[in-house]
Amino acid sequence: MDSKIFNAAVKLIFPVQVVFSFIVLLRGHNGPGGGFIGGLILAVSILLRALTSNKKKSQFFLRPKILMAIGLLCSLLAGLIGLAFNRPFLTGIWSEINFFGFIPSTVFLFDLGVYLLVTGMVLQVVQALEEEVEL
Amino acid sequence: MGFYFILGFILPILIPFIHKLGRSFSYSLISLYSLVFSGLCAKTLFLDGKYSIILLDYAWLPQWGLNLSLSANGYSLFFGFVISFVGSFIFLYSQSYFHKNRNEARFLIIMLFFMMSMLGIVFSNNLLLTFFFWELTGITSFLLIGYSHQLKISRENAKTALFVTGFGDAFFLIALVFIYINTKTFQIDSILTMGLENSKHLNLILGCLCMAAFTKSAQFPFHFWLPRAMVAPTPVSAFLHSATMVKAGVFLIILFFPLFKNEPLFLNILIGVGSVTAFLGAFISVYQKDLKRLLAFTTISSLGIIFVLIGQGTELGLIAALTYILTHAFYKSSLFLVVGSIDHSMKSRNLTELYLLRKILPLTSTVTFMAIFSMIGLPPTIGYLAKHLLYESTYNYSLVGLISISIANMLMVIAALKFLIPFFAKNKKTVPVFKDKSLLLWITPFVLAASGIIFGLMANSLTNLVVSRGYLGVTKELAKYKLTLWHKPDILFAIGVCVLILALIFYRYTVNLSPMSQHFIERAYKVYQLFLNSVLKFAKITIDKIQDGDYWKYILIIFISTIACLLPFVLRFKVNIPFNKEDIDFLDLACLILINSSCLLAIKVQSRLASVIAAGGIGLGVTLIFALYGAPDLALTQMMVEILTLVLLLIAIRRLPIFNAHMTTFKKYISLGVAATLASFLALISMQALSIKTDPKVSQFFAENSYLLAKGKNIVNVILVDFRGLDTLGEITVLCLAGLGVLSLLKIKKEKNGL
Repeated sequence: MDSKIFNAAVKLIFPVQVVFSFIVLLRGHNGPGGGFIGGLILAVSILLRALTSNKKKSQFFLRPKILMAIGLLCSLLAGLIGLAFNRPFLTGIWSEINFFGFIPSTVFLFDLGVYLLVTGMVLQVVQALEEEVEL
Repeated sequence: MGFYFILGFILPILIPFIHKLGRSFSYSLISLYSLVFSGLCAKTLFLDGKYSIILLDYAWLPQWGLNLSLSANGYSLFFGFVISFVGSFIFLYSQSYFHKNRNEARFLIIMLFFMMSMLGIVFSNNLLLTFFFWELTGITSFLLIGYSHQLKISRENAKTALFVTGFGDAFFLIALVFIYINTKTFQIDSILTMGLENSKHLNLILGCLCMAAFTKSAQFPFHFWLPRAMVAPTPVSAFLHSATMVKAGVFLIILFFPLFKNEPLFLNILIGVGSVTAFLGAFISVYQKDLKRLLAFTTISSLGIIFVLIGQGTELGLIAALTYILTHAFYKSSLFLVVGSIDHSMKSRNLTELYLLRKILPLTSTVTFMAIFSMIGLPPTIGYLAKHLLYESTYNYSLVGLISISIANMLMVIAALKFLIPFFAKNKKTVPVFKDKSLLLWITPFVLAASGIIFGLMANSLTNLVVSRGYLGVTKELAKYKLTLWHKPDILFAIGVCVLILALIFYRYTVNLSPMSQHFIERAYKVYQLFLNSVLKFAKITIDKIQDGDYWKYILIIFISTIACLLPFVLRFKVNIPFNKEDIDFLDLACLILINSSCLLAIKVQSRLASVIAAGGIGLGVTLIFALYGAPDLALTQMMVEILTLVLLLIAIRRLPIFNAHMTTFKKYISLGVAATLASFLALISMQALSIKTDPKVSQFFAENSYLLAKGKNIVNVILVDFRGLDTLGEITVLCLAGLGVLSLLKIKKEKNGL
């Protein structure tokens, strides 16, 4: 993309967007937000970054397929941890740590999985489409 | 032993990592695993006279009657021993058979999964679980047969095997359902103790079980998949077609032997199909030039003989069948492995091309002779024992049967003799020799062939014990018959000698036969192909008719059918429009105007880009509504989705042809009419929905428990990740699959363009 303003703006906004997406993920349990929305925000931000970069193919720091796999495994693991505590699959297990109001739990792990998977999925589709366009 | 069994399912997951540590290490580890398994089976078999030991009992899905229930009795231990013992040496052999290649880990994983699912069938005490493992063998064997997936013939033949056995699996499922209807349980031991004598569906159940067994065990007319499966690497063939895959059908029938025992109709079916297959398989094998195909057809024949023995429904018949299974597993696996070694050294499997193997590969030849002795049935091998039992049992059953069995046997002996041709033939053409010095290539078949001899020599003690425990496991009665290798020369011995002499006489006429009977055996395959092709043709015709690429038509059809479905409900609505002038405020109106004007714009504009942006306007309007009416999560999601859609469409637009929105007036009016009708229907439905009172208990429950149970204040999110977490897990899995689907679809297109 040629617009200089757009390029400069995206460069500035990108880190903010990434952090913001993570905040949305974190606050999801008590306020509007969550893994799905956070993932979409992250995907959009990476997408915008990719649109501005001059590289032919948008390069991501991780292959989207791997990202999807990690996400799915995270969610699955979150479910299995419940099993390990001799409770039904996907039972939420909460730790005792309270980190400025954030309590690590399997529920968060599950949401993190959703977050990664959604990001990976969107990037995957975009990448595939872009590659097709290149032809 | 139960946990050792479970370990076998964890091991395949670890193989990629183990394999990195060292090639031979992973092969040896798996081989050791199976050897220990067979040792455990043998130990339990020898020490324990009880007929059923529970290995594992875990309620997996108790609502559906699916329990992870494994139990061992003499019979399952007998089979488990054969499978894991043969498997162990085949794993060891594969190490030398496969040259270093990057697919080895894949082979090991699938092969181990296959063996475990086979053992699962054997030890399962729950019919649903058996079916689960049964399907798993089908799928893994498909992957194994199609191991060289870059070859078209390999893929085709793997598919044939999958379809034919899958066809039988459907019958197994039917049998399973009806067994459940009659006994209200899936536990196999309860089913067998209850029996099905008084059930109305007995004939249906037994018939379906027969079909399942016949397809899996390659009985006529479903035999054609087996010789085709010879495209698999030799260790796979050796495992699948000696001790496992094809024996699954036999296993099933023997498992339900107590049900079959008193049903003369089905016993006769078993005998009929078995003898036809025994004869045909042996007959065709005589014509083969390829050593591996020759073995494949004799396998079909042997399976037929086993079915005949079961079909006799007597104690002796069953004992003979069990002995035959043991015999066949040993000699057939070692012969297959020998063929692999020959192929490895001589780069040929054609018995007219090979020569003087006796001199070139002396060790391999020794093994071959040992195994062939067992196949022909010469003392002191276990083959002699099996053949003697076969004659004895059939002699007691019927004279006609004896004659047909003898003919089949004679043909099989001829096939065995033909197998020996390359070992003695004089040099005709020179074939380059790549002598492979690997010790494993002959020592593994040697152990298997030697086991055949050991089991023959120890007929009175070892074999007798193993077989009678197997018999005990099936019928829960002690076997009265005692196995013994040395018999007084009687009429049966005479028959055996006659068969051998006749085989020697007829052998010379068969030496120069070429595989001209091809068209004759291909008949069943032709029918299968015809069926498959017509299904594909039908699918193509319907797809061409329905999906002609005219999106206008698609949408029209979808809308009209929706209208048709909704019509009966909409007509019954009693709508009272909840309209109140005071309720409308400025923001609502703004949303209304934004959405509607965007809609009009999207229709009117003459460029794709503009209409995409206009559609984005609609989305923003909807987002606004969500935000206004207290659904911030939804609003956020909607906004992100809108942005993403916009970007995706922008990327896609570059590929699309020039915008051409020209529509005939007629089409325009039809579109307008249909769209207006559907829109008004939807509006009516939304209004109706307002007047329906939902049960407040559900939302109350979530509101009350969201913080107490799940420690979250955002109810939507708590529902998503906690209360209905399983749904979300399912959804993200689907999302994942959809992403991969998009990828592969685009890839196909790319490859097509690339060509």
